[in-house]
Amino acid sequence: MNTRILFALLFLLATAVQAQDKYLCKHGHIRFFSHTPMEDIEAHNTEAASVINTVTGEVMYQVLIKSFTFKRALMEEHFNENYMESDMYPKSDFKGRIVNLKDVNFAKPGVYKAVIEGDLTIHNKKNHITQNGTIEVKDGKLLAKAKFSIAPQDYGIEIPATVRDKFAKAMDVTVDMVYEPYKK
Amino acid sequence: MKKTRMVLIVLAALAILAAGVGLMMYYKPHKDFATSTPDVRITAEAFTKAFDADEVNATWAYVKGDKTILVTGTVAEVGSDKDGNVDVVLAGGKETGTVSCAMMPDERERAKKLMPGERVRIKGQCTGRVELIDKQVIMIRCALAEEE
Repeated sequence: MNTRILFALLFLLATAVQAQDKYLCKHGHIRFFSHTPMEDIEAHNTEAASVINTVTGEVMYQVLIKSFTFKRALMEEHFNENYMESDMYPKSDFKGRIVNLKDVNFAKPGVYKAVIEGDLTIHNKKNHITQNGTIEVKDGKLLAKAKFSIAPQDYGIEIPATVRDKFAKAMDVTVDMVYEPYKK
Repeated sequence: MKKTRMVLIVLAALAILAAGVGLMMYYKPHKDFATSTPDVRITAEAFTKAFDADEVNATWAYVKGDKTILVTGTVAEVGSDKDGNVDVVLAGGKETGTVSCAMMPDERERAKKLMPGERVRIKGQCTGRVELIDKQVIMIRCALAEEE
C-alpha cells in the first residue's frame, strides 16, 4: 500500500515538474510587412499558438493563415485566394529548437539572445531555417521577439509578373510572443 | 468628325467607369460580420465536435468563403493582452476543445465584463482550428450578438 502511495506521489511530482518545463502562448502576434515604392503591404495575426520547452529547448508554432488581417479587404482577398491558397493550406507551422539553450537562464530575469533553428512550413512547403531572436525572462513569463525575412518563392508562392512591382523580394516578419507557464 | 467625337466620348466614359470600378474594388471595405446575416448558426459544442470529427470538411464548411458564423456557448474565460486585444473563450465539448473569439475593437469593453458561465451569442469569421496547445477553433472580427 505504501509503495502505491509513493508511486502515486512520484508520478504527481514528475507531472508537475514536466508542466513547469513548458511555457505556452495562445495569442501571439505575427506581423509581416513588405515595402516597395508602389505600395506597402502589412498584415497582422494575433492568434498564433506556440510552445517552448525550457528543458529540451523545443519550440513549436502553429498559425492559421486566415487569421492574418489586412487594412484593405482586396489585399486580404488576394493574399488568401491567389498567393497562400489558404482554403487548401490553412495552417503554417514551425518545429525547431533553441540552439544556444545553455545561454538562456530561464530562472533568472533578463534579456537573452536566442538562436532558433528548425523547419518552417508555409503553403505546404517546408524549409529549414535558422534565425536570431531574444527571450526576456520577466515576472514569471517569457517574452520572445524575432525579426527575419522570408522570400515567397522559397515557399512555392508565385507572384504574377503584372503585380511583382508591388511586392518586395523578401517580406519582413516580426514575431512577438508572451509565454506563460503551463498549468495542467 | 461627329462620329469620331462620339467614339472618343464613349471611350472616355468607359475609361472613367473602369477607373471608378477599380477604385471601388481597391478601397472596398471589409465584410462587417457584426451586422451581416449569419450563414451558419451553431453551438460551441457542435462547432468543436465538427472540427474534431473531420477538420478538412469543417474547414470547407465554416472557413471557406468567409462565412458569418453565429456561435452560441458558455463563457469559459475572457483574456486580454498588452496590445488591448480581447478574446472570449467559449466552452466546447469535453474532449473536443474550445472556441476562441477575438473581439472587434469596439466590442472589447463589453466583452471584458462577461463572466465565466454566462451564456452568449457571438458573430464573427472562423479561420480554422489550432491544436498545438489545446484544441481551439479560432474566430476573428467578433461581436456580441443580441437575442433574436
